Amino acid sequence: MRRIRVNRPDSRHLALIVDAAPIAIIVADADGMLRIVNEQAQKLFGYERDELLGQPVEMLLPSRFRKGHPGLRSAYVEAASSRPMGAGRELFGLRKDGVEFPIEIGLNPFPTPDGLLVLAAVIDISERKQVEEHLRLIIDAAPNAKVLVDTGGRITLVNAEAERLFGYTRDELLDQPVDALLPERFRRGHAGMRASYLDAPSTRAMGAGRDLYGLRKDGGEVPIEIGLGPIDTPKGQFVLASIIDITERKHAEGLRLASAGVLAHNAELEALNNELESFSYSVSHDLRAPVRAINGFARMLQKRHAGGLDAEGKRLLDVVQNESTRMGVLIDDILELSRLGRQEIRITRLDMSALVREVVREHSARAEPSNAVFELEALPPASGDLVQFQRVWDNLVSNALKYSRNSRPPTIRIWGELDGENVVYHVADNGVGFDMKYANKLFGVFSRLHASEEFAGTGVGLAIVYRVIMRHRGRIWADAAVDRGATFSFSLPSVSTHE
Amino acid sequence: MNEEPASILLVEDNPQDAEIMLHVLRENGFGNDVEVVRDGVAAIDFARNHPAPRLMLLDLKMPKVDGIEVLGALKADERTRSVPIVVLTSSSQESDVREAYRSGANGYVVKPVDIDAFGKIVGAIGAYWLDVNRVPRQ
Repeated sequence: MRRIRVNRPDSRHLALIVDAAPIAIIVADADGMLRIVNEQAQKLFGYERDELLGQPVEMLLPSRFRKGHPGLRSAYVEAASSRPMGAGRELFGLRKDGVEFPIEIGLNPFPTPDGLLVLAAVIDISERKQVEEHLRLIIDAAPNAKVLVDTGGRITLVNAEAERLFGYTRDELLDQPVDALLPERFRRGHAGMRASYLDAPSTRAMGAGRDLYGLRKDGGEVPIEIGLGPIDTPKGQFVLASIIDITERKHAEGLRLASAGVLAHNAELEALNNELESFSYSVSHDLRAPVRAINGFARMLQKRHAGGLDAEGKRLLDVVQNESTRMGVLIDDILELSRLGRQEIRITRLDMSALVREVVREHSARAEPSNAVFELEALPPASGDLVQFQRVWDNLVSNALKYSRNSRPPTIRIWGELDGENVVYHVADNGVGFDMKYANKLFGVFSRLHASEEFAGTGVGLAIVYRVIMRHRGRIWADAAVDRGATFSFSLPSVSTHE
Repeated sequence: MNEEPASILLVEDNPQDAEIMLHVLRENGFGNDVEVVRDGVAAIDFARNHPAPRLMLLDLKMPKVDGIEVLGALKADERTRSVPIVVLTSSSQESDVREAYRSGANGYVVKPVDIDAFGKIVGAIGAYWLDVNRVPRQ
């Protein structure tokens, strides 16, 4: 009998290589029998080499994993490739003394003439797990929102407060770019700022001197303060962001400033207001006049010289007129927005039911569309500026009517409720709705989710609503789906906490 | 002086606006005896030296003497006090509205950009002050 040893891997040679490796390595054959184990592996699992060789690899697994393992093994052998084992699952090893420990395993197939050997590199990740567990506990126990971000800007851990603040569930946040929590206008510069933070990480407040806002899932913005701290773990570096909702504080500051009567500050405010006044004055006067001239002269040309124009000429002239009319509306809307921003708020008790009835009556009188159905429920009262809330309801109702006008029939439902310290109001329609993906664009100036040919408007209405609600310390959000209608909701501090 | 009073004195420094106003006034049947002056000085001068117009349409923002000063001067003057003055301006500033009424304006209207809307408003103002609410002659 001649034994042919050509091409046969020298198992002693392989054993030497494996032994020299700095991490635990075990080699099993296609039947799952252990053929080679190195020093590190013996130490890790607590066995002598002789106790392992020739034994099934399953002996190194906790019993609950043993049953399924041969199946997984043969599947691996059939489609052998280098890959980490148990992708997405937590893996555990079993020591001789019966202690389980978390591991990570990298598998490498190793074909030989008498079958496939599988080389498994085993890494004990208990220490890493411990640090993670520790971190998770600390973060979970924190009284304010915490978000742990990796160096790539992905969210790695969040606590319940963060879920509450941003309105997302944990699963929706994990592994997402942290930029998703920023209003769009802040996103562009953020990557650069993150990079420079990582260059010189230190525990400090973020965005010193700037007003920071978080973006909620519903598209609403929350004024926040952020503290940053670098955290080194066996898994690498992370940045822990501690986030505080300062909606209340902002309001308190506003009150303090208003009532303190600090002369210097008042003078500063006055200067600022004057500047705004003169800005909106130039918008109203200097922009309106030329637009009016374009509109008026186009009409005069049309009236007096219609004979000299063919059909195309008249059409072009119509465009000039319509567009200048539209620009006039835009200018008026911008003015209104800027006025709202600085107008003094006169707080009175608001009978929201009466306000809504009045707004609905006006819309019904205008009969646009005539078949709209309103379902009004009694609304809890609130306190706020009467004129500004007339605008809020008017805009929300017009909006609902506009986007549901093709529904049969357009149905607008308005209701409200008390929710702890807040009163919450809702306006729901059965119209075209929108994709929640764009919810963050709802309340921006001039941002529109529908083409203006489809639904007329300047894109300022909801920005006005947003500004009013913000100035009243409230929140606003929306819920919708394409062709399934939209619900706009806002909350205000309830009357009792207000005065 | 024995001339017929102008029905309307239009005080407007912007020539385009003046032309548009004349156009809409004409369209509304008030175009026949409109006198146009280009600034506040001319407005006060005209009002004092001619038979009082039956209605004055006054722009606010004008060089030298502005609309508020014109109001002040004419409403303080026995001879011109009863001339109805409607401010027609581009400004929707609350401070301007308040100041105009304090100075004696009989009305305050923000000029619409859209000429059709403008025409309707001018028609309504003219109809009210010239036909409905007649002011006694001096």
